[in-house]
Amino acid sequence: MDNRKISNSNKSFLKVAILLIAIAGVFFLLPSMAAKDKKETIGQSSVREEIQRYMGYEPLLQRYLSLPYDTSINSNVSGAFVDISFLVLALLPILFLFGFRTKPLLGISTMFLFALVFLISISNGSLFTQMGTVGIEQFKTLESNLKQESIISKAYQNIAFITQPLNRLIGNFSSNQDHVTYPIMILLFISGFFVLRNRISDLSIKTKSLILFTFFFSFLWVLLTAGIVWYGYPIIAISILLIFSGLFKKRPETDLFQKSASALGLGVLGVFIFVSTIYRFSNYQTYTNPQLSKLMFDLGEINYQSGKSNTKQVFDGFFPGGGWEAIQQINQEEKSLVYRVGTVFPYFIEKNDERVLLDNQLGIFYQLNKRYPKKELLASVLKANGYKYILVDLNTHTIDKTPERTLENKFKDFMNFCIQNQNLKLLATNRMIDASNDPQKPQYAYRVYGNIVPNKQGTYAIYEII
Amino acid sequence: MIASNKQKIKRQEIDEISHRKNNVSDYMKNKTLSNIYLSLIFIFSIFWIGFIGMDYFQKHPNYLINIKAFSFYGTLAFVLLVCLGIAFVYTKFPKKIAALSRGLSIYLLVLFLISVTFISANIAAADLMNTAGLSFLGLLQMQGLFIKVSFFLFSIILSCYAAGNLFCNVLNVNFTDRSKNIIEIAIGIMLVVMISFLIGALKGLYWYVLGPVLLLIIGINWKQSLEFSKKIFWNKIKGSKKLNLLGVFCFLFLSYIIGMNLLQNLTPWPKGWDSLSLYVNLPNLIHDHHALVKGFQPYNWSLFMSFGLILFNSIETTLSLAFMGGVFCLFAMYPIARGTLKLDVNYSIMALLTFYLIPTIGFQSFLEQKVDLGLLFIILIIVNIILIWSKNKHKELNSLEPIDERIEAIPSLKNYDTLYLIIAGLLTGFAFGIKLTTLFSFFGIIGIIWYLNLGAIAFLGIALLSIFGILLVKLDDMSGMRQYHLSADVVQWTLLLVGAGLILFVSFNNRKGLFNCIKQSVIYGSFFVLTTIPWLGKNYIDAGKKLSFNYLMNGKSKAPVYNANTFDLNHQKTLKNGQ
Repeated sequence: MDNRKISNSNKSFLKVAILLIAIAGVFFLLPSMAAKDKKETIGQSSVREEIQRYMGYEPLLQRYLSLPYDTSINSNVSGAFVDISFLVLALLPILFLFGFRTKPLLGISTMFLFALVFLISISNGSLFTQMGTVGIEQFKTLESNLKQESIISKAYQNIAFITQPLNRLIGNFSSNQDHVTYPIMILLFISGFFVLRNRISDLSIKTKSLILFTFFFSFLWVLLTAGIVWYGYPIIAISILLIFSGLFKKRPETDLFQKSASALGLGVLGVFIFVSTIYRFSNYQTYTNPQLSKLMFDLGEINYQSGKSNTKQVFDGFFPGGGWEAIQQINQEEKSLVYRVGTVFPYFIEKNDERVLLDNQLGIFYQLNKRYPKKELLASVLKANGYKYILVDLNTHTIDKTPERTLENKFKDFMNFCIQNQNLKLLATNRMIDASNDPQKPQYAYRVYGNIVPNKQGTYAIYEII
Repeated sequence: MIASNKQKIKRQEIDEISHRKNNVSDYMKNKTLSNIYLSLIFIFSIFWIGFIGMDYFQKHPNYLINIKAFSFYGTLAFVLLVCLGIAFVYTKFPKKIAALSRGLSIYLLVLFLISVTFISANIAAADLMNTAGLSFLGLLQMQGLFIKVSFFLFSIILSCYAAGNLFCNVLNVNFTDRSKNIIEIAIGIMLVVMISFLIGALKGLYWYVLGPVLLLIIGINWKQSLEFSKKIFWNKIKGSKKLNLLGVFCFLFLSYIIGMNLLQNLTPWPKGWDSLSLYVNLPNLIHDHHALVKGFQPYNWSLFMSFGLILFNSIETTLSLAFMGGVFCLFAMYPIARGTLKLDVNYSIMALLTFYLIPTIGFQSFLEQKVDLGLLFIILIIVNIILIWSKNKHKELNSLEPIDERIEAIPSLKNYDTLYLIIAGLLTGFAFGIKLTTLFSFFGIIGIIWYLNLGAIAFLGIALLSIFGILLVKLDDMSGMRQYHLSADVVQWTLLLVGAGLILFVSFNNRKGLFNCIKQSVIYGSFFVLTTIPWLGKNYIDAGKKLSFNYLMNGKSKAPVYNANTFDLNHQKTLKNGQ
């Protein structure tokens, strides 16, 4: 009997060892499979600019392995709309690990793998500073007054001796494109499945079904969605339930370890509920301006609800600078086409499903600009094709996270097209400039070009092609 | 019977303990080693949670700024105290307060709390912007709008419930008490949206067409509709006897947040980028055309949202129908927490509160009216149904009852089997008509079917085959990532070999299991296709009856398209005409 047990434990040791060797083999023996970086073509980069920004632009393998971390910490794209909080990443792996508290071999291997994936995730990490988010390498070179030194920034710098070599190692066999990422991901899925099967062996059939469903769903999400958070909502909902079940489900035997885990979990949940409630009632303000955090509702919204403002007044509050009148003009001419670079105005344009040409990432403009480099000519080509209005989001370039800055470059060209173009007439904008040369006597005006008044960068411009 | 069930549960618990004890590795028998190992886990956990927590807050400085600048601590404290006070009274004197525990009382309490918050927010805004404060009339206006939209929402949901309940009664399918109503609502939404799809195809989406149809559904099932209305507003809420201060407090606070989210949906247009560009733009266009809009990926939930504009000409109701997806999710999560995970009622409600406070969920509940919460709701309902099915399936496979009883029980289970799969399939197709990412759930459910019939290795096999299928039709190209994976072709064929090998291996001695897997997958898949057919048909017609994967999925809209040659030609024509 004892011999059999020893042989069983040897067997599991062997399995884990084979698994680790296989993973290590893929990591170390396949650098020859790395491919040269594919040069990104500016005209075909819309998906890369718009969708892949959620995933980041590290070497391919890192992009996938760091997805759980990036999604939780929001290291690539930030804002309440992608903020899933830290709960799932902080608690779910730990609860998974607690299940191996009687199986040290699996427990230690799991810890090692979690730590490895975590280090890979942060090896291209970034930190928040007064300049915004900067990479860890840039952070080191920043002046001290721009840094926000914290425990975490010091921790990042102290573990750089592990993360940087890891980063270089991955860079050896994975780049913007490679041969190894898919095989490694599939291998991780298969090995993860076997570990998970062991972990959930004593659960009910319903719970097992639920967990296996979530596991497979999560893998497909990692593989296919480029990290878009809302495609993975079922993972969040079920994970929260699993976390609560792991922490607070009544068990036949409850030891000190379980009690400590529940207390720890309750503490983390308490912190989350407190901060997220405040955040919620600050109207999810992501601005660093404390004044804005003092509002619970948008001003237009609160005035509308209490009957103080009608639709036009609310519109003018959101989009000052003649937006309402410009939209009315567009709506009077039902047959004129509208060329749209971002903005939310199509909603207000009648029959917008038939009239609006969408070019949010300026892919069409890039081709047109190449074909008709003269700005007046380009405007007349648009007019000849029935286009009479242009809607521009003045912050289009801000979503560009690509290393090549493709969108930023296209947007510069686009703004060059608009500036001093004889065939374009500005109808409305909420960008405010100071038209005066004397700083003592500012003359504010709604225009696109000029000295932009601080905090009045604006969001839109509407042009008429004449 | 109850005693025997209890004995069975006890026996299961003992089995679980003995299973764990037998599984304990040799190392754990050494107490010192065991303690070292447990300490290691604990230290690792502390570091893990600490690092992630601090890293998260380092990259979210707005939390700290908001906490410092927040000017509604007084209001929040008032709300918390009211919730806590009521929770205290409820738990101490449950009989005295029982008469008040009705849906209507909770609704009025929420209305009171959001009115206090609204007054407080108005005062802060008036101070900050130096504008006039809120008048009493203004407060009444807000409350009137809130009640009006609540009524509109309820009437739409009532018709969905009536349709779903009727469907389940006709098919004689039963669900557990906890999940029955919410599953029926989901089925009802699917049915009502399909009806409106047909009306939309005939260009008849007017209030005087859709309204009577919904009223007719309520009328046909008037008894159950009346019962449901009474249950929602008037009947005493049957709370669990185990409800304590934590549970009641979380429930009341959650109700308050739901009320606040609804209030913040009462705006003259949507506030978010995606909702303005697409998800609420579509209901707007449907309302304008009184018909389905040409092109676009299937938009079941936007069609559902358009009811607000079509029936009541109320954009607030349309926006709130998006928000309702989030509220439904809570009701769909509860049976999973209680029934599947056996979580205590109080922690279950706390879990729902936690979920609802996650910023991205909150964001889509009142700032950005999209369809993802609606989709999540339908997926959670599918999961609920499959979990009920899996329990029955497990009973069928491992029945410990005497042979005679088993023979009696199995036919009914088999009937349920097929019905559950059919309903899950129909709902999956409906969800696919909300967003194409439903395919992940589809493959997940297929995996569960194979797991329950043939075990874990079959799950792995079918999962690998699913990934093979995904790579084969290049679904990974939708995010533009395919081009970066140079080994994708080799990987996909390897997956086919390994997946098929695993399936063959596990079904070698269990051909019946393999047959069941295929049969059930085909049933589930067929009904999945059934509810997607209308959209595929629409897209096929929109695309001028051209058959391609892209057209079938995305249709062809009437929007202008860029074509370099046409642009040139038109320009040349204009030059020739001397313009």
